[in-house]
Amino acid sequence: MKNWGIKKRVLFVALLPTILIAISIASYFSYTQIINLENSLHERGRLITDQLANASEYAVFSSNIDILEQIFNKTLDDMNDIIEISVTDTSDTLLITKHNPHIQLKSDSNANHIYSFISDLIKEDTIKFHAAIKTTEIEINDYNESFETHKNNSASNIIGHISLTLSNRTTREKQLTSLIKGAYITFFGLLISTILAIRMSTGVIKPIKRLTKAMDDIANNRLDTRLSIDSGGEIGSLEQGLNSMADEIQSVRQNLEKEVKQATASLTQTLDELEIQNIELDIARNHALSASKIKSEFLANMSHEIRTPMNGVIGFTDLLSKTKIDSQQSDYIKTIENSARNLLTIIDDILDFSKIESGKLRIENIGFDLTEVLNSIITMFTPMAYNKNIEIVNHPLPDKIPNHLIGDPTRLRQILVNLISNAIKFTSNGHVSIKLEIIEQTHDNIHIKFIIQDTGIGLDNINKQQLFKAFTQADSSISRRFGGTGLGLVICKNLTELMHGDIDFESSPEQGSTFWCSIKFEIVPTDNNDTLAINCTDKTVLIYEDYLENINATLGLVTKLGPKTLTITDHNAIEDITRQNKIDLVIIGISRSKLKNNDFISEISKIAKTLPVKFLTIISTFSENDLKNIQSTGLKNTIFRSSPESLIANAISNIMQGKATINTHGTHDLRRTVKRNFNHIKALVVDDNDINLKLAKTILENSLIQVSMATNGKDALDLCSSGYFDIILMDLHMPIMNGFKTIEAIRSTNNPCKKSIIVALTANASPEDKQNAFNVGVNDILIKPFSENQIFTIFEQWLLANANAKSDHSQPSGTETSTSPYNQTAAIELTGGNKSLADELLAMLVLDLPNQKKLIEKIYLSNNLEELRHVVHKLHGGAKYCAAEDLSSSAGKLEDIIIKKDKLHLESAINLVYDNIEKLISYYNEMSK
Amino acid sequence: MQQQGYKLSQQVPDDIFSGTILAFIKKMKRSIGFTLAFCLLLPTSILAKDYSLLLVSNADKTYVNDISQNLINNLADSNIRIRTANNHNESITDQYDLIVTIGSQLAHEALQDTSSETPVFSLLIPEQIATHINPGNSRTWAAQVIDQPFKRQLQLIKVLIGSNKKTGVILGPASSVHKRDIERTSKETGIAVNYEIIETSDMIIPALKKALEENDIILSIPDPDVYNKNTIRGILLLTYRNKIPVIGYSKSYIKAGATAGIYSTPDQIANDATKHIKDYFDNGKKFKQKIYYPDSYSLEINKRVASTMQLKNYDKDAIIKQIKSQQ
Repeated sequence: MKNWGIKKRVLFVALLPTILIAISIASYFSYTQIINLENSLHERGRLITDQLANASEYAVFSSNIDILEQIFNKTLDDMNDIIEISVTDTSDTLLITKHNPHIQLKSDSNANHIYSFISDLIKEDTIKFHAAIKTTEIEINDYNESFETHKNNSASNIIGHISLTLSNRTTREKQLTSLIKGAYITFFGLLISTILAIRMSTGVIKPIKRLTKAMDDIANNRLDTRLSIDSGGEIGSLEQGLNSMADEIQSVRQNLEKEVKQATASLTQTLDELEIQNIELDIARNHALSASKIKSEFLANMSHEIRTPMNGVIGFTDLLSKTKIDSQQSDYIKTIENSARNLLTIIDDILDFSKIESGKLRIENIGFDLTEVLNSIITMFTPMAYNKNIEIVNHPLPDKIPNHLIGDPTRLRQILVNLISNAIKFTSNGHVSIKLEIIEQTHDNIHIKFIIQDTGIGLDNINKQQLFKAFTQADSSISRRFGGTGLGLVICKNLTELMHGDIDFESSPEQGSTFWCSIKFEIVPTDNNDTLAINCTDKTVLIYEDYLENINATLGLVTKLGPKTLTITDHNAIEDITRQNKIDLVIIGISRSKLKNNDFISEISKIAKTLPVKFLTIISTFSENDLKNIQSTGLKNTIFRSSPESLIANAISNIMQGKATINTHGTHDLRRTVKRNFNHIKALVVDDNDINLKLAKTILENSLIQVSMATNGKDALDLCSSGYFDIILMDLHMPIMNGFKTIEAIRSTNNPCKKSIIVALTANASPEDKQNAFNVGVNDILIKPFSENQIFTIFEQWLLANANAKSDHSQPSGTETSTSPYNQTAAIELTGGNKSLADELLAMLVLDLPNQKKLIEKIYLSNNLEELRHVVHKLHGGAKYCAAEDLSSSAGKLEDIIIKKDKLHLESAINLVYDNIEKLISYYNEMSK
Repeated sequence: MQQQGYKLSQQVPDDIFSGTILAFIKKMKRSIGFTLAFCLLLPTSILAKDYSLLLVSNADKTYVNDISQNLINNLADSNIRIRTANNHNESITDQYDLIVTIGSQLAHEALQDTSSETPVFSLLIPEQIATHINPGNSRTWAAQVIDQPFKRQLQLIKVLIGSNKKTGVILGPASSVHKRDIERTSKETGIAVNYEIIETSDMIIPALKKALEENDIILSIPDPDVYNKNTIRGILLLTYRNKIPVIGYSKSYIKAGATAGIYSTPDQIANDATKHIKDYFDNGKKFKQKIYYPDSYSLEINKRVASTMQLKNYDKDAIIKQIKSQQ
């Protein structure tokens, strides 16, 4: 019904009541008529019977049957629905019976009647009526004193009975006729009502349909649709309203279209202009990109092209300095070397900035040792700081900082180097300190804040705003005074942001500056930072430092070890305090200002000799001479302040535990020249630069290495095909055939040098280049310009390991002392005869081995072969440098397997490394006993 | 109401006037005529106490009242003091010289009281009843019957249709006792009378048919088994169809369809009764005869029927004169 149209609804409303009323009335009147006819029949029957009874009175009274017959015949003639009339007397004796002879005839005559068949459906019935025939009472006595009054002769006045049988056929026919007529009347009434309703509904619906159609037309955008107003009343109003609405809509539409047209035209014009601008911008962008690309390529090329000759300059300067020259010449050579290195730094900065600008700088995400990075930086800058007579203070790491993190150690180093370099550069006295804080730490991540604080010239607010902008420095005078490109902090800022960190600083003029950067790292879960877990809680340490920042650093370090501490800044109080307290160790910190004060040192020495307490002297110098001078005064236990934290901690622990010797060095001297006898080694140097070829050849031949040279890959490949080389130094960027293709060819064919050590030489060591180099089979990478030490470090790392491996293969097992995982002789030789250094290096290696093992296991499970190769490579190098030959050998093999992606032997190779790690730890523990 | 009225009379029979008229009217609530009659009697009772008469009548019937009233009126100037009662009461009957009853029922009741010796004169009694009443040996009783004497009726027939015509009479169980009287009268008058005697009412039609076939006129003799309100219509229709006149015995009968008849009106009955009562007292309290037939009578002719019957003499006075002349 909901979906009915208005026509249906109108018809429904109009017809339903009419139909109901018509049917109801027709039914009621038909029923009433039927009942009336029925009652009439009965009434008529009774009346006829009564009349016949009255009429029959005389005939019955007089027993005159003829009269009865006459009466009945007449009656039957007149009333053809009377079937039978009979009369009995009071004794029920039948006086007369008369049948209606017309009944049958009547029935026959009705046989073809239109209603006969319907009539037959109605059961014909007969109705009998009875009446008593009574005499009419007539009083004939004037005085009611006659005999009958007391004779009790009340004789009944009934003299007989009459019985009338009446047919109801006629009544039934009348009833049926009434019904049919009623039906006809109802039908025609309804028909007329329907016609009228349809006509009326049409009269209403037609205008509404017109309205609806007009609405649809308008809705379908035929806005010129109008209705002829030929209706009156509300419909007429609606039609007028619709027309007005259509006028309004059309008007609005036209206005809108006009406005849209105008807007479209304007927009089209704007779009055209924009298109032109876009095209122009695109052209400009392409030009800019092209220019940027050209610039980047130019810078890269320039970098490469500058680095290559700089390699020669620095290399040959270094070689020159080792010849017989006088002091003036030596000074000139140092100037040349410094200038060359500064130039290299400038080039590196420009190159990095260029990469950052072009978005080509990629941040690595590899495992690294944070302590190692920090220590190497401290070691690097210690000479620079001490040369300026400023303290470089390395605050101990917070307890919870893990050593092994995942991040980009190269870029972290670059940032810290830059900040520390600047700090030292702009500080003329006082100190530069390095301190780490944990901002936030979770199970998987750590957010570390690196704080570089100095007591330098500081910055005012105006200069602060310029500091992180490219090619700007605090002011022009700084450039003149301190030099530099002004790119360092910009690079630091960009690198920090690339590592999802932040960088900022606080500074006041003449008060110094505090730069800090915060960087997030992932934590290697297996890391166990327990290197300083030395139990000295029952001891008491007296600390003397005369420089405040050093006090904080030393106190922090000692506190981490657990002993009670007493701190003084006046050395005269040492004796009294020591005598008054149970002091287990006195730490004497000698700053740069006191280092050359011989009186002070003598006093300290004297105190140390008089007191029955062990002394440890920490000195702010990197000079072996200074060390020896102090040791010569009796202060045997002396250690460089720049030594790694773990080394100083071990020294404290050893002294308090009564061990005699300590290691004075943090690491090997960077300037130490390692000269080895590699006379049995054959090397091939491939470089398109003749100077570099000559430099490499000179350096290598000084170590009695047999050197062959090639200027391109093709020549190199030819040489390799004709003979075996133990090591190949391969420049990656060369004409004719570059290093990548050459190495790939060497590794992929049955070339005699297939298993040779290949070290890539490159002046552009981007992560992609490194990765590509390792992918084609490079064992290690040497960045130009390389130093003699760097060359030989790599030679030692790879060739000794290779030699050990060979000896393992050549000698039957058990014939030599191969049962020992540690070759002490080789280790001492590797450390230039410094046994204590060799021992210390071994101790550090062994201490780190459990973590290395867990790291390998974790990375192996994560199926990251590249990172695994990196870790194993590091282990390989460390074991080789410590002369842990078995471990070095197995790690080397594992590295080869990883490079070859030989997953079949990977697990067994890892297990072999694990075995050797366990062996070495066991061996070390046995030795320590 | 009757009891109360009666008790008042009983307590102060000589001082009936002690009750006021109004009280009487209030208590008795009888007809005004009756009350006036009572008032008229009052001076007589005071002046002369020769004879007392108790008139026992049923006031419910108009014709009884008419007779009573006429009777009281007729005796108003006589020395007969009339006391009325609605029914017979034996305890007081002895105080009267004569009890006059109107109607069969009251006559029967009065005679049933065997303890009373007061003579009874019964008015308005059918002859058949009067003939069957036995008042006892010592009781003086006479009746004035309703029925007209046969002679008078036959003389009527004679006046109407002549003496050479035959008269049919149907006698039932009650009226058959009059057969001899009729025969005697027939002889006296010279009018032939045929008898049809029936035992039950079922026999009426055949008897009537026979009578109609054999006679020229039918004389109706009152008999409840022959002529009653149920049979009369048929009888009259039958006679009418046969064009045989019927002589009725009451005004109602004539009105119902009988051709003619003689009868006595209440006034005539009262007048006759007055005469007989006076004669009784005048005659030393003795009735001349036991049954008195009405001396006064009236004639009624149903002219439409008579016309149908082709009777030409409609002059009632002339007819009555002729009848009386024959007597």
